[in-house]
Amino acid sequence: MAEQRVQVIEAGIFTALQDMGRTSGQPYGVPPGGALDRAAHRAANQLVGNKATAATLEITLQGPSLLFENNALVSLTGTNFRAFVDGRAMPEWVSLFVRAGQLLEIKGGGGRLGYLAIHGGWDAQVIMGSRATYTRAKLSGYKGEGRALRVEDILTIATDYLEPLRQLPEGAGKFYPEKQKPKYGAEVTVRVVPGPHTENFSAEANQYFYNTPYKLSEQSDRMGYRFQGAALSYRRPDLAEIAACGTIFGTIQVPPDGQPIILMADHQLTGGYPIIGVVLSDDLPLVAQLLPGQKLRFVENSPSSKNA
Amino acid sequence: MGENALLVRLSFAEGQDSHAQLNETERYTRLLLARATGAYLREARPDLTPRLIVGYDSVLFSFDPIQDSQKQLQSWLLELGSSPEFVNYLTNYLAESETGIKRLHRVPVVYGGEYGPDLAEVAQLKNLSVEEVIRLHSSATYSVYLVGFSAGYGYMGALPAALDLPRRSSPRLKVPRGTVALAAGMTGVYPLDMPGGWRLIGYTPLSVFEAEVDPPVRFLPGDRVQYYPITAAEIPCFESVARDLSSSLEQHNG
Repeated sequence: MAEQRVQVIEAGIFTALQDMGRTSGQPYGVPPGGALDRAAHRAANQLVGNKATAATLEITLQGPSLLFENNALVSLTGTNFRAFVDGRAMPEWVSLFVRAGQLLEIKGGGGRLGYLAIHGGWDAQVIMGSRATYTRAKLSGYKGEGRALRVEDILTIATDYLEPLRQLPEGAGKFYPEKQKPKYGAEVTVRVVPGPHTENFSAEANQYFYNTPYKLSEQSDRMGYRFQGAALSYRRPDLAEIAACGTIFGTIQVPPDGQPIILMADHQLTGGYPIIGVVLSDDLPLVAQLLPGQKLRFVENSPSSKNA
Repeated sequence: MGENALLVRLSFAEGQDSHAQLNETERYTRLLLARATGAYLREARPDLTPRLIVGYDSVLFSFDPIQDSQKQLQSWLLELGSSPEFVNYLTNYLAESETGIKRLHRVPVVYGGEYGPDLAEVAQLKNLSVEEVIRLHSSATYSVYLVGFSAGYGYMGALPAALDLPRRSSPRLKVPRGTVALAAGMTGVYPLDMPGGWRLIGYTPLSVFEAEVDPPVRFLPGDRVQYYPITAAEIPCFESVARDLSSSLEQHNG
């Protein structure tokens, strides 16, 4: 069978291959990376019969436009986008059959991140167990160049399906259960497991943190989302710095300005700011999809309530 | 930490509760203990190794909640803390870290000028001449404390006290890869173009991170590192070997 190809007609603002992140590399300081909204990434793959580890295209704010040279089974998940196949509106969170020669255009619709999956998954060089684009070190991603898509790139397809579909149209028309979708919103509440340095913070800080809203700042990227709200102070000035400590996706650090930062997929692996808590992984998609100015509230989740 | 990760932390001695209260020797001992704990956990549970991060006084690892329950791991770790076998392991590890064979890296550096824009300021702040800063920086033998922050970034110390300065008050948005910098009692090499708040004193043409090499980093915790001055004219001859991460290695005792 000839290699399946998809042409990039328009790249979008920042469209890059992502997956569930690197399985090794942490001991060398290489961030796990991968999709910011793991739930939407997984759902997109599930709809087209892929493994969760297959690569999807993570779409930021708008774009791309893709020309399919072969028949394909695709799905688009995430928050609101307006997508069209040869001009006809394409629903989200549904698997869809696209014919050879058709043009898929994804336009902005107010959402932050979209995930486009294709049966088999998008192909790319695997480094440290992942195809995830890591621009800072120019790792993996398109042609192993660690960059976002550009016009005239040609995407190829891998074989990361659960089972190959002989008849692609038979996989079409699957809906993702509404109940299982993350409850995205412009004002979200996320559960937090208190962190290892809660004792470094003042009593007021612990009070403010769980009782006042925080607004996403514009200075947010794949490394970390910065929030603005009531400043969280330390109990004593010398508790501002901790001995460099490992971090994970969802770690909430508080630098001396008192404004919390949630570490995201491309986070640094050690940090020297006190950690006030860690966002539950099930709630990270709600954080990932926030736009600057949108609000978040933290609620305390005791570690024993999950994980029996 | 969170629902799928555990942080093992060294406790503080009676009457202490912050890193800032410790002296350099105490910090270094805690670092070695954290490293020894990491090494023990890697041997005991090799499956956790890829997701284990050794910090300055802690070890963090993520686990798969399908395979491991947090409670069981917690009780295993608590028992470990008082097991004679573990205490023995730590004691041996500390003893070996003093006497064992270390990898030594000799790192060529073009100091100052466009390669080290903060060198003159460092000299001025420390009441030293530029030559003295270069001599101090390049005469010490450093130990790689941690590899973290970003791909291949080795935190090395101890920096001679005469060069100690805090981080810059506002970080630069882009520091070029290969830049040699110092701050907070440590020195290191930026492995990639990235933002950074350390003080930039020079540039090395040696590559410190190559994704496709195993291991992908030049510096590993416990390695020894020395810097030595070269001129800008010598950069090209080092660049030809720069992608081979093993090229400057030699074994040495102590």
